Amino acid sequence: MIERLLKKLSRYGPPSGEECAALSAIMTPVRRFAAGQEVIRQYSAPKESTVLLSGMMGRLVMLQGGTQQITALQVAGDFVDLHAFLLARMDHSVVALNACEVTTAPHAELRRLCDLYPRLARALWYLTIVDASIHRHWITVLGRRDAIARAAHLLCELHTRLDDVGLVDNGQFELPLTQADSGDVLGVSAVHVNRVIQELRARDVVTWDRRRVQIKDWDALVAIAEFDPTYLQLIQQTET
Amino acid sequence: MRRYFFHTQDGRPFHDEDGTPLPDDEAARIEAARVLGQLLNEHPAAVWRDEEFRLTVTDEHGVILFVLDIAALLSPAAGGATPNLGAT
Repeated sequence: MIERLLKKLSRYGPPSGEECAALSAIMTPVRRFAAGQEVIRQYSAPKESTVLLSGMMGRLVMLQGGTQQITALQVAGDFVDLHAFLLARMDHSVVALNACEVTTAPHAELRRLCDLYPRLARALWYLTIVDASIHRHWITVLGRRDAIARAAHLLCELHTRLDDVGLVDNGQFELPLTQADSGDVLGVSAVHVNRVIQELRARDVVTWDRRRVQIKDWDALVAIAEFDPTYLQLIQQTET
Repeated sequence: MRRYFFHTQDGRPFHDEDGTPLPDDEAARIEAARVLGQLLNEHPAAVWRDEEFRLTVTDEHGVILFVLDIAALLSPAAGGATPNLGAT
């Protein structure tokens, strides 16, 4: 059930068969969420961490006055809130962007496994470090790049992360964001998102309709984004 | 919801073919100001280089609803020949 997560964890360690089996064994039965449904509530205190099995979710911070920022996107195989394991209260919510399937790891069970398997604990730590790395890059891109570069960078990142879990088909992948959602990710208005999409299309780099992205010129997209996948840490890590 | 089209001239022309659905004219005016502000921010040199830095909002029939225009003027002291800003 959690093969995609185990693949990510295998970049650190990798975990033994016993560790993989132990982690798989604590996972709760599959639950489903519909598009738009809140999965984790801001200020709640979850007793379990959620693993996304299929679909896409966003971490959302709501501001007074109704504006909001989507601070991260989660793809299949990601823990959407592994940090909740060690934190008393959530500082953000998690929302399903399309139909999603999840399983959860109860925190009491995770604690037991971490005591039993220190290397597995470090592998889980590695996942939250990669999360932080992605946040650093989003801050940099949102703080310093123009709207078309932000959009191009997002598409490069999602293409890379989705390809890693086998969800890109011939340069095509599902991206279930409305224009308003995309604005909340890219920090620009929906109208500006619309401009950028049209510009990428006019340059024959990407077609992005509401639900699907087709990359037509990867090299051009990477050049616009100045995309360097190092921060995603999709390489084997070694303990010395 | 009504579909509004945001065409711009910011160093090069952009014709909005898709449009964006928004609740009313007031929302479209707010969006227009945000978009023009973002464009100024992204292309600060263009406003000094081109004669037009403009955002025009039309409805689905192409009828112009409102225009936001940025005017950049050089006074003679800064090397601008015209227009005369009133200095004598």
